[in-house]
Order: sequence, then C-alpha cells, then structure tokens
Amino acid sequence: MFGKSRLGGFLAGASGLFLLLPLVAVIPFSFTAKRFLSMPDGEYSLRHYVAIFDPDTWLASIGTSTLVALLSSVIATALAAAFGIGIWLRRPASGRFLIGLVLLPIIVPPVTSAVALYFLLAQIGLLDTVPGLVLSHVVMIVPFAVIAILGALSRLDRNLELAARNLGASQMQSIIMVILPNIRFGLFAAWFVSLVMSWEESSVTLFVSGVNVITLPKRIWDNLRLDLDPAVAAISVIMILATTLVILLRKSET
Amino acid sequence: MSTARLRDLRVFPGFGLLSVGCVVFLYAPIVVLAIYSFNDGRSVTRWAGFSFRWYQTVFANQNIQTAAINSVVIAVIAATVATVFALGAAIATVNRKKGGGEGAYVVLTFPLMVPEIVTAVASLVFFVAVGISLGFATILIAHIVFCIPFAYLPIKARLESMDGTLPSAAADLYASPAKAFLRITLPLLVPGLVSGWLLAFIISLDDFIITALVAGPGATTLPLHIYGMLRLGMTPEVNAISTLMLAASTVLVLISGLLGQAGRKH
Amino acid sequence: MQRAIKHPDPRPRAESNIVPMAGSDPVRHPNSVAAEVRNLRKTYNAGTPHAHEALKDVDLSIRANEFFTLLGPSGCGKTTLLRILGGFEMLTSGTCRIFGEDVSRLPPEARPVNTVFQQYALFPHMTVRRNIAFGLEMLGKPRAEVESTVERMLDLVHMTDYADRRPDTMSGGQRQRVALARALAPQPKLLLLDEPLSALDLKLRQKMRLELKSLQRETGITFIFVTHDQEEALAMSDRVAVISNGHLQQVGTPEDIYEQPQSRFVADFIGESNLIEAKVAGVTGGEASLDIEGFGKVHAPVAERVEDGQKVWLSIRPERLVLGSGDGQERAKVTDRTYLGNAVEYHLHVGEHALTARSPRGGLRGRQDFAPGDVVSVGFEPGSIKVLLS
Repeated sequence: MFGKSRLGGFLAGASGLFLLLPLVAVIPFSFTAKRFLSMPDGEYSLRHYVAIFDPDTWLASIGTSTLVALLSSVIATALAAAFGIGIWLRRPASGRFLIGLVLLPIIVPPVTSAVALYFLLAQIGLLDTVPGLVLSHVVMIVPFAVIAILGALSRLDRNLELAARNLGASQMQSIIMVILPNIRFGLFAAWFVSLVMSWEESSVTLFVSGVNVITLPKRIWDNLRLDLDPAVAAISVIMILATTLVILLRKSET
Repeated sequence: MSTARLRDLRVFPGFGLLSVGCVVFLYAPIVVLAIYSFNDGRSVTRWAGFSFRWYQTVFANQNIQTAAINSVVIAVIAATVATVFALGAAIATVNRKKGGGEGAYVVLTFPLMVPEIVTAVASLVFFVAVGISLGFATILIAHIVFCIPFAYLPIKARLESMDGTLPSAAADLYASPAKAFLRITLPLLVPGLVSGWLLAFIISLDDFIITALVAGPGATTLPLHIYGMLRLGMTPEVNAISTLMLAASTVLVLISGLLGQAGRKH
Repeated sequence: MQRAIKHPDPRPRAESNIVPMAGSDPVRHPNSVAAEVRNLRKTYNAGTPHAHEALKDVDLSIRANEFFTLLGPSGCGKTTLLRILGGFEMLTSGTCRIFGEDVSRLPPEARPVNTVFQQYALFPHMTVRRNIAFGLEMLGKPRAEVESTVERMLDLVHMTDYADRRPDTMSGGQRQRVALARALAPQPKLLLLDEPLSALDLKLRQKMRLELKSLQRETGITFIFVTHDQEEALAMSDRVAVISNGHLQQVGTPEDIYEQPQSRFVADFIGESNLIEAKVAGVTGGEASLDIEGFGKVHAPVAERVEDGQKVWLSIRPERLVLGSGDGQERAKVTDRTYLGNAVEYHLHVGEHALTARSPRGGLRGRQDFAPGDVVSVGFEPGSIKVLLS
C-alpha cells in the first residue's frame, strides 16, 4: 500500500546486506588452520573450536560469564518482580512516576554507567570481583526486567488478588499462590532477557573487572587487542549461531 | 473479617519499601558520580566543597574537545545515513504481508540480538579482510551499519500506525507515486524519522565497544577518550565528562519523547 | 505500465469549464455507458494454496448519470469490484472500461475516477482546504482555478466555515462532507463511494443519504456506491447490483430487486422473505400450480420453463401474507406474536414450515389480532408469490 518503491527495495536489501555481511564474513576466519586471525588458504581446521575447550582460558571465561549471568538475572528478576508487584498492589499515586524513574536509567550512556559503577565499586572494595560484577550487571539490567514484568502484570485481572484475599489468603499467600503463578511467563521473560543481557554485557564489564574476573566478552576483547587469536572468530560464530537458535525458538513458539 | 486484615490489603510496608529501594539502588551510582563531579578537591572520595572547576578543565581540554567533535560528527553522519537506509527499508518491508516483510524484519533486527562484542569482532574481521585500514572511516561505516536497526524500528512503527489508504487516496487524486510519497507519506513519517534519527544519534554517540575495536590508532571518540582517562586514574574530570554525556543523552531522549507525544496527538 | 496522467474531464468539451455546483445544470450523457466490466475475474494469491476467487466472471454496465449501488454481504466481492474500478486492485482477467476507454491496466492516478473512502482517508497533516485542493493541484490546474473550485466545493458541502481546520478536529459527518468535496473537486467522470456512511451513527446516516442523493442529482456525476445495507441501497439508488460470493446475482431498480427477486439469495438478503419449498404440479399458460407439503396447492406465474415434479422455492414477503379465521381454511398455528411498534409480527407453523407474517398495526383499527396458540387461515395477496428456481 505504500507502493513498490524500487529505491526502498534497494535500501532494504543494502541494509540487510551491510548488517549481515560482517556476521557471515567471520565464519571462514574461524576455520583457518593458521595460528593468527586470517582467511584459510585451502587448509581448513577445527583447531580453534577445540581451543575453546581450554579450561584455563575460554572455558574458564564461559564459566565466569555463566555464573555472573545466572546470579545477576535471578537477582534482577526478583528485584523487578518485587518492584512490579509492589506498584501493582499498592497503586500509589506516584506509581507512574516510580515506573518512569526505574526505566529512565536505560538512557544512561554505557560509559557513564561504567564510570559510575567503577567509582562505586572502588569505594566499597568490590572492583574486579564476582559480587561487584553481579551488582553492576543487576543495575544495568533491572529496568529491562521491570518492562517484562510490568507487561505481564498489566494483563493480570485485579479481581484475582481480591478473590484470593476474600477467600482468606493473607497478602503473602495471595502473592505466592495467585499473583506469581499468573505472571510466570512474564517472570520467565524477565529472567531470560536479564540472562542474555548479563551474558553479553561488555561496556561496563570492561571497566569494573578484567584481571581476576574475566568474562567471555572481556576475554574476546583482550584477545583482539593483544594477539588476534582465531578462537575469537570461532567463539563469535558459536554466539551468532546461538542467537539464531534463540530467535528461531521464539518464532516457533509464537 | 477483622479490620486489621482489611487494612493490610492497602498497607503492606515490605513491598513499598522494596519498590523505593529498587529505585535508590539504580540511581545511587549515577547520583554519587554526578555529585563528585562538582567536588572542589582532586579526590573522588573526599568532599572538599562545591565547584565547577572540573567542568572548566573538561571544556579547556583540547583532547576532549577533539574527541567530542569526532563523536558528534560521526553521530550526525551515521544517524543521517542510517535513517535514509532505514526509511527505504521500512517502506519496502511494511505491509508486504507474506514472504518479504517478516524475513526483512528478522534480518534488520538480528544485529540487535547478537552480543555487541560479537558484532564488534565481526566488523573488525570484515574490515581487515576487505583491506580497509582502521581509522575514522571504519568507525563511520560501523556506526552507520549498527544504527540502521535503531532508526528502522521507530520508522517502521510510525509507518504501521499510518492509515494505509492515504497513499491510495493520493493516487486516486492523480498524484504519481513519487508525489504521493513526497506530499503524503513523508510528511506523515516525520515524527518517526525524528525519533529514529535521535535514537541512532544517541546510540552512535554513546557506543564504546564496537568503536574501540574498529578505531585503530589515532581516531578517537568521547567514550574512547573517557575509557583512556579512566585507565590513567579516577579524577573528578572523568566524573564531569561522564555527567555531561548523561545530560546530553537525557536531553536528546526528552526531545524525542516530546516529539513522539506531539506525533501521537496529531 | 502506463503512468501518464489523463485529464479527467467528465463533461462534453463545450461545458468543460463548468464546475458542478448546487443549482447549475447537471451533466448529462444520454444513453452512454459510464463504466463497463466484461468477464471480470479477480483471484487473490492466484497459484497458491490460499487462492481466493473474489470475483467470478462479472459482467456489468453502469449508465452515465445514474446512482448505482453494489450491494452484498461483507466479503461478497463488492469492494473488490469498486477497487478494480478505482485502479487500486489489478483485475486477474477480463476488461474494465470507463466511458469507453479501457482502463484495465491504468494506475489510479491515470483514471478519471475519484473515490470516497470508507474511513475517508483525509490527509491528517493538511487543512480541509488543502485536502480539497490536492487533486486539482496534482492535475496542474492554475492556482486561481484551484482556489475558486475549492470555494465552490466548500459551499457545495456546507463546510466553508471549516476550511482551515484539520480533519482530526472534526466530527464524522464533517469529515464525510470533506471527503465528498475532495473527491468531487477534480470533476471525476465516476465517483466511487466505499461504504461512506458506515462510520456514522444512525440519524446522521439517514441525513447523509438524502444529501448524497441530492448531490448526485445536482452534479450529474455517475455515483457507484458500495454498501452492505439493503435499506441504504433501496433508498438511494437508481439501480442496484446484488452481489454474493463473487457472483452478480441480480441487477435492477430497487423496485425490481425487492418485488421481483430472481434467486433465493436476493429474496432473503433484500428485506425479509418466507422461503418455502414446493413442487411443480402442472403448468398452464405461464401459470404454475405448486404443491406445498402440508399446506396444499397455490398458483403463481412462472417466467422460465419448469417441468412437472420440479422442485422450486416460493418467496412471499411477510407483509403480503393474509391471516384470517372463521373461513374453515385454518391450517396454521400462531406460535409467537411480536409487537414492533408500527407493525405486529406473527410466527406461524404450517405443517413443517415456519412462516412469518407482518401486519401493520395489527389488532388495531379493526384489524384482527391473534395470540399464540390460535389456529388461523393463511392466504396470499395476489401476485405475492415469486417462484424461484435457484
């Protein structure tokens, strides 16, 4: 209905090409047989995929990233759920304002967040520790978890809670037995978004950790800056595939 | 039911506190950062009175100025070019029901789902493979590309909320496709284009990871410069410049929000 | 594809500078055909499993200067036909002519046709004046002519006071008028109206019917009006085409369509009808004797050839059933009585058949009234039985 614009088609195609080309281009680099990042010249090898399983480097970082992501996502989801349910139950006059306030940090430039968290962690002595990193990630991802939970709560019938209370449930019982089960998809969405965001967080992570605690993005970063290890290409290919898989799974759900 | 049970339905201190606590938790780092940017002393931990001296230092710093100008120039060009691409992409993909539309949406938003560090690696590898030497140009190209999805989403949303019969009505009233686009579709898309451009601009201005990897020696942007400053040690100057960046982002988002509201009223 | 813009001049050359307005002489194209479609087919998603035939072999001629209505239930293809005339859809096969010119392959902007859209599609960023001027500007008319035409159009639809308002500040009825003025301003040869009254409330709708009808008479422009509202169609049209399931069912004046339905669909869709199955029990001189099971024989004229024993349907309007008692012919039982204000409706059982009878202000002013449970006789007014073969 907006016409078959040939220019529009060209721009759409070009956009898609520009966006996907680098992601596709990295694939052959991951199969190089050489020890440095290069196009494979006739010789292909899986050695850099094997290198990912080195327990001292890549595997250790995958473990760290997983641990940080699991902790941060669970804490962020819990905080977001408490915040969302608190607003939903009490409906304070300042509810809209509070929600706005919680979502606002989304616009904070990553570098500002990084500096602020670096500063804070330095003060409390948690720089370059797992608790410090988890704390940083939670601050970064709570607003996104709140979005998912508020979405689920907005579809929840208020009378459910009243009915539960009317049937004799206490506030806590009605939250645990009525509200939480009814927003379980929102909770899952919040947790999943948090998990992914923490897993791939890099701008803040680079500032607040890096010597003792090395997450996967941080290791990729170091490798690129220092020795151009082709394992970086291999791990990138795996992460691109994982993203594709997640998108496909979500598509098949809907 | 007793009055006590009735009362606790409205008054349940635990959750109210948690809600407020959540807000405090989010803002504490930023607020502390901003407060110490006005510290008169050199220390970032000991308050020595209120002063603008670190802001003066920032504005007097030639390197910061260069980095800031680079950042703005890159952001303006990247946002503008990305918006043009996104506009074309949105026009070509919206309402093409079967086939194209869905696929195009996935392709255009895929990079939003890929971890930023992976996009950075891929961009770097791509530039090296193609043989473009790293510098200002590679930053610009990378920014244009990663801004496209951000510019695309608001334009697409605006186009989808637009009455689809309007271009038909223009054609019915003897407007050629080009005229219908220029006189009807484009003016109505302005709010979407503005928010798309602003979003792309902010994303470009704030980006650190991709920029850092494709920058090469010499070329620098404001986030890169701040990172460098931080490596040398925390001074209130870093607080000041970070606070300024936050202020800039906030103002831009506010403008975008106000324009969006004006657009909805229309 | 041809992109050249044709000058949409609806009038004979000598008159071409006259803009239609209240009081001026309507344009007449005696005996000419305004729009004509032949063997028209439209298949959506042709060649896919989702293929859908929206129009199946439609032939239709619309005369110049008439108010023509395409009537049918939603999804019947009437809007598709209108969109094909307007150039918004490409026909799959067949031809489409407007005043003799084959427009089948022309885009909307090259057709001398304007449209009033269902939701009006007024340009929200333009004032009423700019909206009305748009078509004239696109045709490259001189500014003075654009301005004077816009003023006359504003006057024609009584919207002069709103000329500098934007559409989103106006009511549905006002937008409707602006949409009309915008579509009439370029003096189209055909005006297409896609359910333009459906977005209005009942009172306004009835008022706009009269306005549309008089506007059509004043301007003399051929109106092609799409609606699913049979009352609207009967009230406004010179002729009506009833469309169902992509087929043209019947074309005729409102009287023809209502009084002489040619199919069960038309009899049922236009007004209300009792449809009764019957068997032909003999034909003499154009009149058939018809046997209704559980009731008996009735007689009705038949236009087409029918054979003895052939199954047919009889259509009788509820208001043309005559109920009575005391003549020994009582064979129907009243099952329900509904008071409708200006009429009373009786639901009857005659053997296996359920019938509806309507009596104007039944029971009052000496008319006989009946109650549920009463056994009554049923008669038919002369000429009220229509024999339908399909």
